[in-house]
Amino acid sequence: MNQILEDLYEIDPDLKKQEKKLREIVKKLLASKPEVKIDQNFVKDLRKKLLQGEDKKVAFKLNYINKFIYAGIGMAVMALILIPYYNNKDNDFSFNKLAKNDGISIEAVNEKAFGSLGDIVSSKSGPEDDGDSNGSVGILGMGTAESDTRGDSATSMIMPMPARVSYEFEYVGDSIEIEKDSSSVIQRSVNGDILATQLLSFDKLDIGDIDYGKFDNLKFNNISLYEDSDNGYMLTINSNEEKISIYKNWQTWPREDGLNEKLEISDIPSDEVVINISNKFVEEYGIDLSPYGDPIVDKEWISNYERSENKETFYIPQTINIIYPLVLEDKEIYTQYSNKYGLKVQVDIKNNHVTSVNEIVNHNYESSNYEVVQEENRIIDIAERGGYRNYSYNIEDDSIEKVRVELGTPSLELVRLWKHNPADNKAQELYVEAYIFPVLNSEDNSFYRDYVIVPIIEELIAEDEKQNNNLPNNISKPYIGIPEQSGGGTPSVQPRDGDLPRIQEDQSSDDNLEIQILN
Amino acid sequence: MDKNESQLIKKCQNGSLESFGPLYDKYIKKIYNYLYYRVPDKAVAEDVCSQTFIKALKAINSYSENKGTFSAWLYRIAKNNLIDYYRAYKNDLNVDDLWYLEDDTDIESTADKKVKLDKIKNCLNHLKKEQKEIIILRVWDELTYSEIAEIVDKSETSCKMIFSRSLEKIKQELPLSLYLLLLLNF
Repeated sequence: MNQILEDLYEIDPDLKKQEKKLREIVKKLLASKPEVKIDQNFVKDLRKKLLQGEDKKVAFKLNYINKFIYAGIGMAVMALILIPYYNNKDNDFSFNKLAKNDGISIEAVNEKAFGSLGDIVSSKSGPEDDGDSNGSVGILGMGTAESDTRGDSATSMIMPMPARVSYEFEYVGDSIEIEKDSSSVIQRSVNGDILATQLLSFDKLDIGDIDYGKFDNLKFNNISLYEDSDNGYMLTINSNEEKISIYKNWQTWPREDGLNEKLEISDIPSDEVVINISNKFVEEYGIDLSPYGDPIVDKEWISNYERSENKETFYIPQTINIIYPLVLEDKEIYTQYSNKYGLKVQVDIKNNHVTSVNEIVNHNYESSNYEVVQEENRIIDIAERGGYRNYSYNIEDDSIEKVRVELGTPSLELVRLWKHNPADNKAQELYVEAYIFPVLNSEDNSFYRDYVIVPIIEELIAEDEKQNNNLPNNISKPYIGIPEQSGGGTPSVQPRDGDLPRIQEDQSSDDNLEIQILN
Repeated sequence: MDKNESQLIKKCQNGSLESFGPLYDKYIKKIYNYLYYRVPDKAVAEDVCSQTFIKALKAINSYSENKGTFSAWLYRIAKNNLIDYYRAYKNDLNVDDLWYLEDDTDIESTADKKVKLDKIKNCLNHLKKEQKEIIILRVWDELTYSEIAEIVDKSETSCKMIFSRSLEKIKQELPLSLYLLLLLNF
């Protein structure tokens, strides 16, 4: 009783004044106090389950791709390296979680834990899979141009030269209510050296006349495994980014006759058929779909087809992408260029098989609160210049056609951005709340994006406004191109005739984003 | 954090699964209690509790002392799991309805307690969500201000201030017996 009273006084010293009355009440309460009974069997069973671990002997704990691993593990190099590991009982892989998912884990960390967001970069150097890495800022490449050049996907097809059109955006939606002061910015947590520190024993490596032991802190970044069988697949495992990709191992597939046989629009299967092929593959290889929403078929190429003036010459792609949109905190993720981001499966619609799966990642995240912009007009201003990272230019050019685009009331979702981390010179993957303004219509139906995106974090908005205000005025207004026809060339679209400067982000700087004008 | 706990965590991070055992033994009851009052029944409490420890074990490599105490880290995982649970059943349940009744006490005292709890709940509902959370973490979960500060992402001083002001408000609205019922976590 005395201890309880002491505890009470510690919570509320004022109570000491009523000690007599307190004693009576506490006595009654003690008599009726229910106990939280924890089932000891539950405690014991859970302990056993936790400490037993699961599949401790399976390398990497990549349960859902074991099929590939067993096939590829026969490689001599891997055997040389892995056998010493298996014999080393001090190593325990039960914690290895490289892309091994059990749903999504988001851990809250301190406010502004990811540092200033002023140095957000819109694209990431190096190979990227989500198609949002066009790199140019003021002058947009085609939204469908993709840096992934490995496949023959619909969205990596060669895009036409853009016409000279300037889009004038107008917000016609309802008033935007900003209901909060802060917002959780989410960062994917990447351990980064799983293969490096735990898996491989370099002192046992004996390939070539090299003393591997002389290299300081030697680590593995990527490894590839392949199925040494007909119609096989290969895997690439990126330890630094904790990402896995699966590709068709072309060498083991029969060479296609009639390679140049052109598909017709009537050859395109229904969405249901394509999604079924994808689902079957994903299910067969045990890829966890719980972090994702319902699959959608990437239709960008169809939009381009419908806009094309000469449909006879339009290239109908042989592969189509299926996106399983990632859902975090009940919100879907968009790339900065308005595509949805998630697990991406590419399906060969001519031969009905999967050719690649990208963005198989771990789903461990951290979230940190950042201040939210409070002024509706600042959000709308950015939307009306085409969204985040699209800048206004003041010089009029009568030769450029103006097209009005209406934007509707936005929804609040997440946009995927990259932040440069000066500490290790790597890019951090962030998911930031953003207003997604639907494009209601454009006068000539040529605007190729479905959405315009504006993040709600104050630091991002302020930086974007600063960049916009600092732009030089003596250049022609940039345009957003219209796909007119298919053709050859590189995926990224440049202004024609060399009459417009190119604008690129300089990602080498640790400071805020710099804009370079290139001639 | 005590030295022994810190060493156990490091061993876990280096692959010693067995070292998680003592950590589990230390926190299982606390985390279970935390969840017990916040979910509808014992089965859900066990389920969410299991998820909490499974996730903690899987994510142990991501824990660092720089992020705060291990205890607060576990509570945050439990809290996130709780939110996930309420999201999954969001049409039927409200995450703010933290007070559920145990299913193994007699009906009479339960009914009586329910009336009392309803009154307390009604009073707490007049507080801001943040104030309510701090009251519950301090009083019901018996966490230190330092732990609460890490969970709610505020300074210790700020938590103390919020707690103290919230208590003042509650005291004005509740009779002494109910006020004590709240403070004693009965």
